[in-house]
Formats: sequence, structure tokens, C-alpha cells
Amino acid sequence: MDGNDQVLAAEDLYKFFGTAAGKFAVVREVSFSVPRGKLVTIMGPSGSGKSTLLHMVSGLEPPSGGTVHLAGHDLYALSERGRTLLRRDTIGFVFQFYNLIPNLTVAENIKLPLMIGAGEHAVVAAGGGEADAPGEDHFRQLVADFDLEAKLGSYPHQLSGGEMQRTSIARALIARPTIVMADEPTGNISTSAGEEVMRLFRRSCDELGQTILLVTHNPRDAAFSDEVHFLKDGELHEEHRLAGDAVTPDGIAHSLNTLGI
Amino acid sequence: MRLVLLMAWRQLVFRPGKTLASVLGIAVGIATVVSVLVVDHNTLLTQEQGRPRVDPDADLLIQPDLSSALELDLVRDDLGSRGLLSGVTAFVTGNLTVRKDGKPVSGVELMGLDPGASTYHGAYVVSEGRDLDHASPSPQLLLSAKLAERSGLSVGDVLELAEPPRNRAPRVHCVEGELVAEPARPPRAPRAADAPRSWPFEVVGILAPTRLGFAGSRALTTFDRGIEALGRRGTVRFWADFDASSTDLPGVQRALDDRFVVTAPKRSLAGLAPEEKAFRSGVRFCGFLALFLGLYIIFNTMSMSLVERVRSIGLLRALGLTRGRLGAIFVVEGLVLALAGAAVSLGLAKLIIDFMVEQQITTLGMGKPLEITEWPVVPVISVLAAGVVFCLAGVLYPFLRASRLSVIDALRRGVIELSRDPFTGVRRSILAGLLALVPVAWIVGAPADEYVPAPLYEALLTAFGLVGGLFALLLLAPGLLPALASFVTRPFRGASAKLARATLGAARHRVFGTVSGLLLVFTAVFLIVSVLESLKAETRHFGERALSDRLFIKVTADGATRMAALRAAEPEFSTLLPLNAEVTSSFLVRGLEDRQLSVGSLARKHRDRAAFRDERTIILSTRCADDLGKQPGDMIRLATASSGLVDFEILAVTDEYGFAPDDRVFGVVSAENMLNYWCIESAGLGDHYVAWSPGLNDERAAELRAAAVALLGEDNVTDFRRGEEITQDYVDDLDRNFAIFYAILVLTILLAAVGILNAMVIAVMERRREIGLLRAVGLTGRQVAGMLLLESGSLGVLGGLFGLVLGVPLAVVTAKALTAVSHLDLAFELSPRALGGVLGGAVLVSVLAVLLPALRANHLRLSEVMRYE
Repeated sequence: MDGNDQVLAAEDLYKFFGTAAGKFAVVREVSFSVPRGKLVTIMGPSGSGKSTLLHMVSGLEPPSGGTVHLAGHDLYALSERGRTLLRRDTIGFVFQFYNLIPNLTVAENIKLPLMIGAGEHAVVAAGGGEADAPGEDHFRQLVADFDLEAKLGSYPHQLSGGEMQRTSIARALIARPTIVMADEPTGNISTSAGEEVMRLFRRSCDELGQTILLVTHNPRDAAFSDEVHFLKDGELHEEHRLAGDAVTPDGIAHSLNTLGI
Repeated sequence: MRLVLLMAWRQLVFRPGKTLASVLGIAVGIATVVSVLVVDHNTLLTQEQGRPRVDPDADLLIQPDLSSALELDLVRDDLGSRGLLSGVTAFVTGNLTVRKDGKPVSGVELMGLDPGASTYHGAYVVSEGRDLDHASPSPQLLLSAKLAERSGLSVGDVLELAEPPRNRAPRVHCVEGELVAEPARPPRAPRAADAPRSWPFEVVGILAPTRLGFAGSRALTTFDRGIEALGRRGTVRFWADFDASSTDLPGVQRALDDRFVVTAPKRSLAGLAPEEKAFRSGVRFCGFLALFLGLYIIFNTMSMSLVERVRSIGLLRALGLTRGRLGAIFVVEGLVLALAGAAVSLGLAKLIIDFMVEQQITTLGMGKPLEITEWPVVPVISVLAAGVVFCLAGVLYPFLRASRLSVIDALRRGVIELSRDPFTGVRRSILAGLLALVPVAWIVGAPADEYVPAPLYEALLTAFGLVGGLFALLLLAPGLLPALASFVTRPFRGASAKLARATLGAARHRVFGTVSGLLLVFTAVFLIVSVLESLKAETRHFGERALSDRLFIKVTADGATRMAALRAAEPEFSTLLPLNAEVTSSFLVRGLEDRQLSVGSLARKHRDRAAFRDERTIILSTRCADDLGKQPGDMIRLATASSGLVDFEILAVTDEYGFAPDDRVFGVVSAENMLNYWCIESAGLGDHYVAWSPGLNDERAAELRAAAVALLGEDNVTDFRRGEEITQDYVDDLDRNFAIFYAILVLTILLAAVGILNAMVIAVMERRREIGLLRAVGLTGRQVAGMLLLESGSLGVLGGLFGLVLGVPLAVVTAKALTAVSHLDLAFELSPRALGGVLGGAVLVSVLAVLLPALRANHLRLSEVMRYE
């Protein structure tokens, strides 16, 4: 199922939520995969279930049905602790609201995944196909690439929105994760800062071979991807999937129009 | 580990105010208990040092009624088999003459001792030579250093101990109730039978000048040799220890019955009288309440810490931090707070202790001397350790909550609602467990008493039942308190009141936590005030019986020689009669001229008055009779100076006669009996005098004092007070004595306030989006503050009301318990001051505690709050 080329494979995923009126499906029959070194985007409007899907494939929200294979592991065959450790060793997260620890400096926030993994036995080798432990050189490189040298000693409340999101992306990349999962990473920053963030994602794919799964409703962001899936009312519309050269702003707009999104 | 330490450390450093409040909360809790323990320990030490030196320095001296030597072994076995006594050791004392080379060189007090005196009690120290060999058939002697020096005796010398010469000068002495004047006998030729008997002894050692060796003319030998040498001349007594923490002197006396007279000369018994134990137990209980509230604070603080960091915790969990390491962050934080609190508590305790020393606040009341000479290391370290464990226990629940936090909820909403609690059972169990610490603290703090009267057990059980019952009700009916809190806000109208009602209805845990803390503190407040009022009422009743319409004068020996002139000087002084005292048994016996019975309840009972004067009768004070379980008509055995143990019939039980302003446990015998049995001249001179002076006003009392001073001299009148003044002084003393309770209660109220403050801060943080929304749609800052004040105020009202619900019956049973323990006739007094103070205090504390959170709610950044929604 998960050959060397596929970091993540979701198959037949369902998610039901219960209310007083009964259960309703937020995600239905969703199957997709993320090839190594590619930037894959799940696009959909608000309420389409894309965040729930991201939570399920990242091990945060157990699905009601279906399977998720991440880095060769059947995610939900693992215990809660096993999933926690797998997340630690394979996933870098980027959130819409940055989610930086307010008490830690920029440098400490970036190194947080390293500190969490420090002294702990890794269940999976570091991502990107490299087994070397991420070190100080990688940290300096990221800080330079993300233009954060001057802010290393600052605390999150002293940063702009763009700086905070760059910090959170640097944090996501520091441990060379197998895959970075980004949930609306530009949703809370200016257009120009958003573009800068997406360029950074693109560069990390192209230059570092980083695999990225992006969830967004923003066509401009999706245009940076290698592959775009469209999610509407909890279902993936694979007939509209875009890949390779087809991923253009016009192609995305066309698909959105066709789907009535 | 680095991450754990970094996260914990940053959390503490980034919120210095909260950290400081937490550390101070813990520190105040621990410091209160530590200072109570240290002051209590040193109060007893100071009391011991302040008491006159006694010889021998025994816990108990038990004088048996021995009519034959045969009974001695039976008595010894009987006493040795009593579980409440230990180290039962017989000794015999009497006076002999030391003869050397056939000539008398010195008088000596010979003590014949069982081996236990040395091996168990360490009653003496041999500085030179060797100890007595109890197995040796040869007579041996240890001499006090002064006696050896005066007699020119040293180790290895042989001497004779002889009966005192029989041909002394005629004298008057007391025998069996009669003064026997020995007529001077004409000298006659000495006969062989007249020669005093003597026994040879070898001096085997010299005593160090301490304990039994302190006396100047003392010699020690084995018990058998002592009996042989002293014969009927000697007095046999038993030396024993008893566990003073588990019983008291009246308890021992009751257990040993009338065949024994028990005295407790040892200085270490300071603070162990029943009422003193009750007082000290109460103080310690209040101290433990403070520690409990310290736990309440750490619980709230860590809960606050959880609420503040929900998003961070969600992130850490998303990034792969295991529950174990997350728990480690909480434990490290709790540990740092606890250790810092413990360290600060020592400094704080030092400040509190210094203040108490300066104000002379002791655990036996105020205005008593107190000198801090040592800190009891083991109890202090135990309390510090208990404080740290309490803090870690307070971390337990927030950690459980954090470890089971929904990562997605935490990341998405950044909010944890403690009121929507999946661990209701766990939380209730923890709370129930913590509440269980209250009776445990009581049991630990109050000395167990195997001879505790049944009413005390009943009272304790009732108290635990009441506390347990109320909290069980509140835990089993969690909707009760919110419903009542909403009801309390009914009279208020407007948006603030509506919102407050809605919030209170949904915040069961916070309502329970806050009301619990308040009701515990204010129950304690009510209890203390009620007990104080009961004691004051009892004191006033006693004053009416024993002090009113009397004038008490204390004079020096010089002043006493001029009392006749004073009696003649003013009509009010005409009834001025002396009170003399002699310590016997476990209470004072005073000699009283029967003229003093011409007033009061015995004034017209001529037969009783005659019996008082002419027969072996005694009047007991009510407290003395209660202590001993005696009634009029009963017999009581007293150890007399002249005739050993003598039975007296109890003529009456009343406080009207013979009270001198020092002790309420006393008995009164006629001046004649005092002279006959204790050889003390009661009818003559004394230092305490009492006169009947009904209707004496302040002005006339001042004139009489001036007259007394003029006649006797200023320096010779050491005390001159009307009975009413003494009563008022007693009442004032009670106020002063209870200062320590108020001091501790102020600290506990402070702790409760910090606890409520934390709870309200949590409430504001939990609801910041709601408050932000309300502000955004037009609710004014004043309305938000009003809503919070109303919420907190209503909880204050409930805390106060439930404090009274628990406090009133507890005060009733406490009065019963104290009556059983102290033999004071205490009755519950419903004090309007206590009622008002508890209700007003609870509301005030809760309202003051919410001011800061209300201010904080008004300064929420609306844009930020709403952006996350």
C-alpha cells in the first residue's frame, strides 16, 4: 500500500459526529495519498471537513472508518502513545493561529520538536530520507532562510503575524519530519506574508525534498502545489483532482467553479 | 528533561504575580502550622522553666494507703500492671542522723530506692565512686556532695545512720487531727532501750549536685535497706511516668481510686491540664485548617495554570509530547512551588513567631512569658514534608485533566471548561479525600485520650457526622449550591444579575469549591467566637458565684502583720479574713475561718457550719468536685503533712468560699483542720485576704484601697481588687488568650481569599470569549464587574450561611465537649456578633477577592479574544 513513494495513504475514511438529531458524516469515503517530496493540497470551503480530514491523517482524531498509513505504519492500529510518538517522529505541524508557546523565545519555539524528541528513542528515522540527527547547522540554515536571525531572543507576542508563522514553519521543519501538515497556514496573515510562506513551503519541497500536506481554502496557496484534491461536503471529488502542470490558478478556479465551491 | 524544566520554569517566571501568590499561599499555610508547633513547644518549655524546681522531679508521685509491709509488694504489682503508668518505682524517705566514730555529725534525709530510680528514671548521677549494687547484701550509701563535704566523708568510709535522739525539747505537733503538745519530761537516767538504733553503711559513691543529689543532706540506699533503717518513720511512695499526651492527672486519679493519692510535681506537665490540652488542640486544629486551605490554593493555582495553557498543552501533545512528560512538567512546577513555599514558610514562620513572642501570644493564651529556645526539628520537618505532599496532591487533578485533554479542542478553541468535567467522579473523590483530611488533622492535632469522658467522644462523632453529612449532601446533590446561589441573586435585576444567575447554574464545581473553602473558614470563625462567648458567659457565672460582692486583697508578709489595724479602719474591712493554701493531692486545700461561712448559701445551715468547724469535712469548688467525680456526702482521701492519708467528708460543693484569684480547682477546710493536718496557722497571717463587701462601688473601692495603702504601705499591698474587677479581668484575659486563634484565622481567611481569587481568575479566563462577546455586543465594563461581584457575593452569602449551618450545631457539641474535658459548665451562647461577623465576613472576603479578576475582565483585548473564536 505505502510504497517508498507514498509517505501518507488514507483509504476509505469516514468520520461521523453525533448530535441530538442523530449522527451525520463530516468526512465520507475519502481516499488519497501523498507522494514523498511533493506538496499536496486539500482544498475546500469552510465546513467541508478538510480540517477534520487533516486531524484524522495526522493521528489526532480517530476516524469512524477507514485506514491511514503514515511512514509505513497503520496509524490507528497503534496505541494512543504509539500515535503520539509517531507524530513526534514523522510530522511537522503548521497551524493557522501559529500556536507558538508564549513562554518560549523564537529560538526555543523552533527547537521545540528537538527538545520533545531529545533523549527519547525514535520510532521512525528522521524524514527526508536522511538519517542524520538534525543539528545546529540545520537550525541556523532554517533561521537564515526564514529571516529570523534578529528575532531569535524575542517572545511570540513581540512578533508580527508573518514572523510568527515563519517561526511555526521553521519549527515544523527543524526535525526534518517525514511530512509537514499545514492547516490554513496563511489564513491569519497578510497576502504578501502568505505568499512568502507558500514560497518557503515550495522551496523546502524543491530544495530539501520535504513532503507537505496543505489544507486550505485559498486558491492562491493551492497554486503552489504539486497536486490538489477538492473536498466538498466531506467527499473528495477525484474527477477534479489536479496534478503536475495542471495545477495553475486558472485550473483551480475552473475546478472550483465546476464544483460550485 | 530539559524541556520539562524549561516549560515549568518559564511558566513560573512568566507569571510572577501568580507564582508569588501561589508560593505565598503555600508558605502561609505551612508557616501557620510551623509557627503554632514551634510556639507550642516553646510555650511548654518556658512554662517548665518558669516553674519552681521540684524534688524529686517525677511525673507522678503516688502515695498508697499502706497498713502493713506485706501489702507493699501487692501494691507495687498492682501499679506496675496499670497500662497508663510506666516505670513504677517504690521509694521510701525519712530523716536519720549520720554518726561517725560514735558521734552524730549531721542530719540526713535517707531515700531507699528501687533499682528503677536509676535505671529507668535516671534520678541521680554518681560523680565519684560507683552506683548502688542492689544485689549486694552489704549496706551501701550514696551521699550528696554537700553532705559528704560537711561530714568529712568520702568513698570507702563506713558510717552509721541512727534514729534521731528521742530526748529532744518538748514541742507541739499535729497527730491524727489533734495538736499534741509534748510535756517537758524531767531528765532521768539513761537506759539501754533509750539508745537510738543505728545501722552501719559503707559510702560507695558521691552524688553529682543534680536531681536527687541537689539536696544538701541526702543519702541514697537500696529500698530494702531504707525500709530497714527507717521503719515506720519512713514514708513509702511510688515514682511513675505516665503518657501525658494520652491522659491527664484527674484521669490517673480516677483510674487509681481512693487507695492512692496522686501528685504531679514534675515541671514537664506544663500545658497538660485538660483545659490547656483542649486549648492547644484547638490552636493546632486551626493551624491544620490553614494548611488545608494552602492545598485549596495550590489546587486552584494549578487549575488556573492548566486553563491558561490549554493551547500550549494541545500543541505539545500534537507535537508528540507523551502524557508522562506532560505530567512531569506539572509535577516539576508543583514541586518548585512547594519547595519555594516551604523555604519561604520558614522565614514567614520566623516572622510570625517573632510577632507572637513580642505580643506574648502563646498556645496557652496571651500575656504569658514566651522564649523561643529551640525549634522542634522532627515536627517542623514533618509539616514541611506534609506541605510539599499536599502541593503535589493539588497538582494531581489538573494533571489528570491536562493529560486527557482533547488536542483538537485545545488547539482549535484554546479553552478548557473545568465545569464540563469528564472526571467528575475523580474530582469528587479527590475533594472528598481532601475533606477527609479535616477530621484526620483533628485526630492528629488533638491528643488521643484513653480516659476521655463519653460526652467528648459523642461530641467528636457528632462533629465529624455533621461535617461529613453536609459535604456528602453537597457532593451528592451538586445542583443544590448553584440553585441556592441563583436564588440569592434573585433580588437583583438587570443583565448582570441574569448573566450571573446563568453562570452560577452552570459552574457547579467552582461554586462547590468556593463555598466549601468559605464555609470551612467561617465555620471555624463562628466556632471560635462561640466558644469564646461561652467561656465568657461561664466566667461571668462563676464570677457571680465566687467573686461578686467580695473584696480580694493580697499583701506581703510585712503587710499581713498589720491586718488587725486594717480590719478596724473601715467597716468593709471588718470581715477581712485570710486564705492560706497548701498544695496537696491534685488541687489546693485552703484553710478558712468558719466565720467566713456567715454569708452565702451555708450562712443559715448551722449544722453544716458546725460540722465544718468541728469535724473532718471539706468544701470543694465545683470544678474540683467535677474533676474528681465527687458529690456532697462522699469521702475524699487527702495526703496530709502530719497524718499520712486522711479521709474527709465532702460537706458542700460550691465556689462561694475560699476562692483566691489563681486557681478554680480547690477545696476548703476549717482553719482548725488546716492547723491539725497540715500544721499551718490559718487563723493568723496570710497573703490572700477576702472580705464580704456587697454593693461596693468604684468610688468607695478606691477610697478603701487608699486606706489600705495608707495603713499597710504601698509596697505591701500587692493586689486590691473587687470581685467584679477580677471577673472582668478574667473575661479580658479570655479575649487576649484567644488572640492566637484570631491571628491564625486571619491567616486562613487570607488563604481562603487567595483561593477564591484564583478560582475567579480561572472563571474569567474560562469565559474570556463569552465576556469578550458580551462586551462586543454592548455590555459595559461596569456590568461585567457587577456580574462577577454578584456571582462571588452570592457564593460569599452561601459560604457564610453554610458556615452557620455547620457552625451552630458544632458550637453546641464543642461546648459539650469542652465541658467534658475541662469541667467548666459551658453552654452554647448564640452571639449576634458571631452571626453578623460570619455572614458579613464571608461576603466581604468573596467580594474583595473578585475585584482583581473583575478588573482583568474589563481589560480583555476584545479583538484578540474574538479572533480566536
